[in-house]
Amino acid sequence: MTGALFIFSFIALGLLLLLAWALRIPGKNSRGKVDLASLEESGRRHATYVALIEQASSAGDIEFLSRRGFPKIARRVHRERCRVALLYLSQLRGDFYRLLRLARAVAALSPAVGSRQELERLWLSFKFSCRYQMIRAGFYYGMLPVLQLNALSHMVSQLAVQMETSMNELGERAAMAVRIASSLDGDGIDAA
Amino acid sequence: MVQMTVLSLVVTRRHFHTLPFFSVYIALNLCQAALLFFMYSQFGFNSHEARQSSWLSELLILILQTFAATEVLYRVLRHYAGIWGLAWRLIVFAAVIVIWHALESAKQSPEWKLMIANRGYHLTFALSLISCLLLVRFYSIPIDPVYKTLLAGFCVFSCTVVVANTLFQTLFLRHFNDSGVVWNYLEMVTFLVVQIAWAVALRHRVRVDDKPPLLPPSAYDRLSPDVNARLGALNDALSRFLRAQVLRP
Repeated sequence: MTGALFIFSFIALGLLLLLAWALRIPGKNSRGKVDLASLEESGRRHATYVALIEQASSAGDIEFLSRRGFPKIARRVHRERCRVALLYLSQLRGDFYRLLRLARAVAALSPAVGSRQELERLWLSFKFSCRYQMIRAGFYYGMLPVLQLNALSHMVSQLAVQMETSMNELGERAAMAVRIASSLDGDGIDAA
Repeated sequence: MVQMTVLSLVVTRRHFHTLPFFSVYIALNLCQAALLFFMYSQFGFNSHEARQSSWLSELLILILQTFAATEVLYRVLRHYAGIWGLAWRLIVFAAVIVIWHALESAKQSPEWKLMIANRGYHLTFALSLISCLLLVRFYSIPIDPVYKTLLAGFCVFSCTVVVANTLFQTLFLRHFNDSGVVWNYLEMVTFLVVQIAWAVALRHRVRVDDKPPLLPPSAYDRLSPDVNARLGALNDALSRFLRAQVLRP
C-alpha cells in the first residue's frame, strides 16, 4: 500500500508541476497572443547560408596549417570552426522554430484542426530537438569532427533555396488569409 | 464563510452570466456542506446515513465540477474552434484511459471501490484539464487571470484528493486510529485554500477579449501539410548528418 502512496504522490506532484509550467507567465517571445506577426515574417533563412559555412569549414585549411607546422593556429582554427558550427546549428534551429510558430498560428486561427497533422508536427519537433541536442553535444565534447559539417551543408543546401521560396510563400499565403478573414470580420460577416 | 464569499462575488460581479455551471457548482457545494453538517449532527460522523448522503451528494458535485471546469475551458478556447475541437478529443482520450484504469483497480479491491472510483475520477479530471492547459500553452492562447485561477484551483484540489484518498487507505490498513481525521483535514485545508484563491480572483471582472479573425477552413488544409513537409525535410537533414557522424570510422 505504501507503494501506491508513493506512486500516486509522485503522479500528483508531476501533474502539479505540469500545471505550474502550463500556467506560468509566458516569456517575451510569446506574450499570450497568437503570433500573427510570424505569419508575415520574411527575409533570408539561415539554411541559405550553408554554402558560406561549407566554404569556411573546408578541410584544406586545417590540413595546410598542420602541414606547415602551425599546430597552435590549427587548433585555434578548429575551435573557431566549432563555434561557428554551433552558431549555425542554433540558427538552423531558429528556422525550424519559425516554421513551427507559423504552423501553430495557422492552427490556432483555423476553425478546424486535424489531429494527425498536429501530432505529426509534435513528433517532428521532438525528433528535431533530440537530434539537435545530440549533434550539439557532439560538437561540444569534440566527438564530432567539425569537418563533417560539409555533409550537413550539402544536405541543407539542397533544401535551402526551396525553403527560402516556400517559407516566404507560406508566410504570404497565411498573411493574406488573415487579411481576408479580418476584412470579412470587419464587415460583420463571420469568417468561420 | 469563504464559500459564501465566493458565491456572493459570483453574483455581485455578474460572473454567473458567463459561468452558469460554475455558479451552480459553488451554490451546490454550499448546500452539500449544510446537508452534511445536518447529517453528522443528527446521525454521527461514522453512521451509515451520513456516509450514504455524503457519497450521493459527492456524485452530484463531481458531475457539476466536470461541467464547471469544461465551461471555464470553453470560455478560454471559445474563439479558437480548431483548438477547442482538439482539446475535446484530448479530454476524451485521457478520460477513457484513466477511467479504464480506475475500473480495473476498483475490481481488484471491492471494499474500497468508492474510494478508488473517486480517486480515479479526480485523476482523470486533473489529467484532462492539464492536457488541455498544455495545449493552450502550446498554441500561445491567452488565458484571463480569473480563468487561470479557477482552473488551477480545480487541478490542485483534484491532485490533493488523489493523494488524500491513497493516504487514507494506507493509514487505515495500518490500523492508524485518526486516518479519517487526517484525510478529512487534508482535503478541507486544500479546499479552503482553493476557495480563498477563487475569492481573490473573482473580485476582478473577466477582460472582454476581441475575437481574433479566423482563417478560412481551406487555409489550414493547404498550409499545414506544406509546413509539416518542410519541418520533415529539415529533420531528415539533421538525421542524415547525425547518421553520417555515427557511422563514420
